[in-house]
Amino acid sequence: MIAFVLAEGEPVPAEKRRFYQGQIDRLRAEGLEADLYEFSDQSPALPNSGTVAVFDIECRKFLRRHLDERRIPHAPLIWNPYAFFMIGQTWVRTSSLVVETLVPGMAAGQMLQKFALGKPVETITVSANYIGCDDHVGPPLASSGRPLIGCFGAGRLVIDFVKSVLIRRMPELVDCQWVHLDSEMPERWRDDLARCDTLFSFRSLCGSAIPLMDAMASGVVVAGSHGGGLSGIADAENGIWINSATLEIIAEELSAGLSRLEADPAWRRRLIDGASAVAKNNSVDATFPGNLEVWRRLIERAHLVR
Amino acid sequence: MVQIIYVTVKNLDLPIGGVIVQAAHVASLRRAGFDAKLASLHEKGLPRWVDQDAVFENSNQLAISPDDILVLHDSLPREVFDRFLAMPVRRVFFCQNHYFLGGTLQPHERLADFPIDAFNCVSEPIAAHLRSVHGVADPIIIRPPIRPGRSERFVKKVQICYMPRKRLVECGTITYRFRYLYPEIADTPFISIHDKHPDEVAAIMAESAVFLSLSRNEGLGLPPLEAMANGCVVVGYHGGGGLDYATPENGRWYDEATPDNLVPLLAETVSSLRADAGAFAELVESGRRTIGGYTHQAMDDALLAFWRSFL
Repeated sequence: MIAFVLAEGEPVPAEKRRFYQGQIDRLRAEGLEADLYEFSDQSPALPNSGTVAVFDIECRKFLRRHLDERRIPHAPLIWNPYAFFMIGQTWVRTSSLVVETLVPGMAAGQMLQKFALGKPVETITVSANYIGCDDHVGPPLASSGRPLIGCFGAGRLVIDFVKSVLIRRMPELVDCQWVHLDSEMPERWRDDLARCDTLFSFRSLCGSAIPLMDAMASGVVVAGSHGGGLSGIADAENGIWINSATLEIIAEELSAGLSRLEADPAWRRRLIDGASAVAKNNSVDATFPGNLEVWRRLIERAHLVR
Repeated sequence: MVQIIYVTVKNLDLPIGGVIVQAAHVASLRRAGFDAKLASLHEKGLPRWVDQDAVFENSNQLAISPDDILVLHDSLPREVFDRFLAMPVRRVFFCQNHYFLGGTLQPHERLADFPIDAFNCVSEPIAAHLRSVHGVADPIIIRPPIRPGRSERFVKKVQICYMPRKRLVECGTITYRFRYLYPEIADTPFISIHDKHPDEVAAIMAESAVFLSLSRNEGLGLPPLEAMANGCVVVGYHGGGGLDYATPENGRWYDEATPDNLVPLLAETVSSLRADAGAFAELVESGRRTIGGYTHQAMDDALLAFWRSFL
C-alpha cells in the first residue's frame, strides 16, 4: 500500500491534497492499495506495516521520527526542487528506510539525478483534476463589461506596485475588478478563478503548476511567471509568460499583453486553445500511466527493504 | 532657524540602511549649518550605527512651527502619512524604495496629488517611477555614498561572496547546483556577508574575486556597488533600483524569473577567473569608475544644492 502523508504545517497542503487524491483514485482503479493520511501533533495517525509512505521532503522531523519508529519505508517527494536545498538531506542518504526520492518534472529529475543523494531519483508528473475544464471560456476583455483580473502568488506590495504602473498606462483598468486569489482556499479559488478574464501570476519558485493549470483548463489567460513549474511547457502559444525578475519590466509586459488581448480576440482565442491543450496533455488521466510505473517500482523497492 | 526634520521609523534597535542614509543627510546638512535632525518615537536617542554628526529628537518632544520642513519617507503607515499632510508645515518626500509605496498609497493614488512641496530620491529608477506613475515633474536624485574600497592591495582569491537575505531560496539553489553540476570548480568557497560588521564586509569583498548579487526590489542596492569598489566581478540580479548603475560593462547582470540560468553564468565566471585572474579586468575597472557617482562629495553636492534652492 502507498500511504500519501500530508503533515500539519507543510507548504501548500491544498495543492498536495489534490495531487495525492488524484493518484490514490487511479491507483485504486488499478487494483493497488493507496490512501491519504493527515498527520499532526494531535493526531499522529499513520498506516501500519506493509506500507510505503510518500510525503514532502520539507516535512518536520516529527513525521520522520514516527515513520522510523514504526519501520515504515518511505519515499520523500521533493515537491519544490528550488527549496530542497534549504533543508538538511543527510538522512536521505543514511536512512535505510528511504527507498527512493521522487521529483516532479523531467528537468528537475534529470538535474537531481546528478546530485549525491545516495538513493534512486524517480521523476513523476504532478497533476490534478483541474477545475473548470471546458465549461468556462473567458470573454474578450473589451466586451466583458467590468473585467476581472485575478492576482496570484505575491504579497500586496508587489501586486499594488504592478497595479499602480498598469493603471497609469491603461487608465481604463481603474474600473477593473482586481481579486487576490489564494489556491490554498480551494472553494474560494474555484469560484473566483471562474470569474476571471485574466490571471496575473507571480508564482514563486516551485516545481509544479496545479493552480496555473486550473486557469489554463478554465479558459483564463495566464500572464506572468510560472516560477519554474512549467519549464519546458510554457511558451508564447499558451500564455503571456514573462521571464524577468524586475517588477517594472513585468508591469510593462503585462500592460502590453493586456492591450493586445483587448485588441486581438483571435490571439486571445489562440492562447486559450493552446493553454487548454497543455492542461489536457498534463491532466491526471494523461500523466498517470507514467506515474503508475514509478509507483509500481516504489512498491517493489519497499518490499526489498522489509 | 528653520528646522529640517527627517521623519524616521520607531524601531531603531537594529541597523537599517534607509535610516543610515537619512542620518547621512542630517549630518551633512548640520555640517553645512542647517538645523537638521532625525525624529521618531524611538526612546533611546541617536543609534550608534549612524553618522554621529546627526542629531536625534523624540517626536513627542519636538516643537514644530509652520516654517519648519518635514522630510517624509516611503514606508509611512497611511494614518501617519495623513497626519503629517494635515500639519501646517512644508513637506519634502524622500523616497529610498519605490516598491514600498503601496504600503502608504492605494494603486490609483499619485504622490503629485498630495500637498508635498518637493521630491527627493536615491536613484534614477525611482525618479522614473515618480515621474511616470506619480506625476512628479522634477524629482531630485541624491545618491547615497558608499564606503570606499579597501586601499590596501589584496590578493584576490577565486571565491564568491554574497548577501543571501533578499533571495534565500535562489541562494540555496545556486550554491547547491554550483557544487554538484560543476564538480571541477566545486571547491570554490562561498562566503556570506550577512550580519557582518561593515569593516569585515569590506575585507571579505576585497579578497573575493566574485560577488554574487541577490538583490530584489531595491530602491538602489548598495552591496553590488560596494563590491565594485572592492574590485569584485559582480554577477547576478540588479534588483530593479540597481539599474541606476548596472551596465553590461560593469557587471554580469541577470534578470530572469528563475535562477536556472544564473548558475551556469556564475560557473563560467569562476572558470574564467581560474584560468586567467585578469579575465574580467576591464569589467572590474568599469565597476571602479561606476562608484565615482556614489561618494560623500557627490551626495553633499546634490543635497546642499537641493536644500539651498528649496529654502
